[in-house]
Amino acid sequence: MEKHQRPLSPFMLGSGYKFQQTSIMSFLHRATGVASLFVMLAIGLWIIAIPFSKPLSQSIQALFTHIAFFPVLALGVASTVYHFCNGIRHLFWDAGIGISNEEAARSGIWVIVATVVITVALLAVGIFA
Amino acid sequence: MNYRTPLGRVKGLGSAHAGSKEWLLMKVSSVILAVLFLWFAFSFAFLVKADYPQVLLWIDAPLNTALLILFITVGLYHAAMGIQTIIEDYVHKTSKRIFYIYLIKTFLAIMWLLMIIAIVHVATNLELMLTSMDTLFS
Repeated sequence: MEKHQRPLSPFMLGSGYKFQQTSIMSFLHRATGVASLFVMLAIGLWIIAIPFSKPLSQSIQALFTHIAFFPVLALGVASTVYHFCNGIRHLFWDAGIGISNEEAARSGIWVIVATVVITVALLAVGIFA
Repeated sequence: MNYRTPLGRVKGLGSAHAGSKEWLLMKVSSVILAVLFLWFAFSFAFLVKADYPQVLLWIDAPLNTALLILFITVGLYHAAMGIQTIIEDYVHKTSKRIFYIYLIKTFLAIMWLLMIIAIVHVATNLELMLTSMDTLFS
């Protein structure tokens, strides 16, 4: 069959559009969504290990709480929290709330603030509580 | 049971004449996950440092068992739909696209089943696991 070189619609990130807060946050929503799946699968492996083997499940907990693992843990927590906060913003958008450019830019700031606050709170509970 | 009104069904038809069910399922799963996320995240922050009996007791509490199964089920379903959307966006060859979607969905279905079995096992064998401290295979 003949191959047609049809033009693709311009990609959100790249030469087609200038960088904007909204486009970067939209891309991050997808990226953190994929990251959240990896977090879920990592926790899933631990859950599966619990009845399977006590030493294995405790080894997985030791890995999760190991100081060298902290960057991965923090990134994983931040990803899921961002996806949670931005997902709530998406639900408001779907209800037709806050869809103007100005409101979207402002709610984007709130998503970032909420992500930082909740991430720090979760890590603090994990470390100190 | 179909809860959608005739007008809603007609208005839901976009250019593809399908997909409004997937859109609605994404919304419904998002709302459930949004409600349960903070509960799960803070529970995990406590549990990750807890000792073995504490973890077993937490899973065994009826509300935790139920919400954990709900969260995992809805979460993996939401993830499967999200990954499918990404594959549909970036994998253009139809045969490859279908293969990757089924590969990932099969993998996620197996992970879901193993996680549910593990949770139900803990919730139904708590006394045995706490007293003997022996586990299923060791």
